[in-house]
Amino acid sequence: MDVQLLFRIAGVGIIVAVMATVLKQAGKDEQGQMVTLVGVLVVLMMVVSLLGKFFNLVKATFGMY
Amino acid sequence: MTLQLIGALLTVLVPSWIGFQIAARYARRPAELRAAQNGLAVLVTEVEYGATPLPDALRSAARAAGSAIGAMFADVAHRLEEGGGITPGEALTEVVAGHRDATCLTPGDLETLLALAPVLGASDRRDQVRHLRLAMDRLAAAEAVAADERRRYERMYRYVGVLSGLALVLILI
Repeated sequence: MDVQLLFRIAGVGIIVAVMATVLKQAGKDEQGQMVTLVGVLVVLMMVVSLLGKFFNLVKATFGMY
Repeated sequence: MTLQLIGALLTVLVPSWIGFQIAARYARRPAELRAAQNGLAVLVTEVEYGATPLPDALRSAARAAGSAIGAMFADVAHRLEEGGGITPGEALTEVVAGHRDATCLTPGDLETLLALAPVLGASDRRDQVRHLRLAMDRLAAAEAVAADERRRYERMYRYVGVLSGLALVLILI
């Protein structure tokens, strides 16, 4: 399950990188930056629940309630 | 599992197809602009040296232009032959409005053709030829711009189409 998520994030990263390069080559720099930003947001959405779990774990480990 | 695979395939194919369609429009525009110039060149010859009746002149222009643009010239000729007291200018205006979606020309290119409407078959030979040559020059300038756009954007839209399909699959899977 976790490995699948990692691969998915890697795939999104590769595709976003290629797309940004192609757009930049065609002179559409702004759209390229937009694509990069959207990619970052999409990956963040995938990871955000896991991040929450992680912080809960940290809190539980150090007894910070 | 099979259903998921079919869905993923469709999700890749549809944005790719859209990308290829947009790229094809960029590829077709310079060709159509060239075809329009060829048609107008024939029209200039017919008007200047032949003094051919306008419907016949338009038919030979249509043969020279071919495909989508030729269909426009042929349609103008057809409307003129049908009669009904329509002027060549009116026929041209109607045809350009009707064929707007069939061609890949931008509104600016069509405006160049529409600028011929008040003079086509309605003024003396020299004035018509002058306007036709002016339209040809403007189309040639538009063709240079269109060729540059094609070089820059044709490949980009293909790549972006396929890649956005792949990204969609990765996000949804």
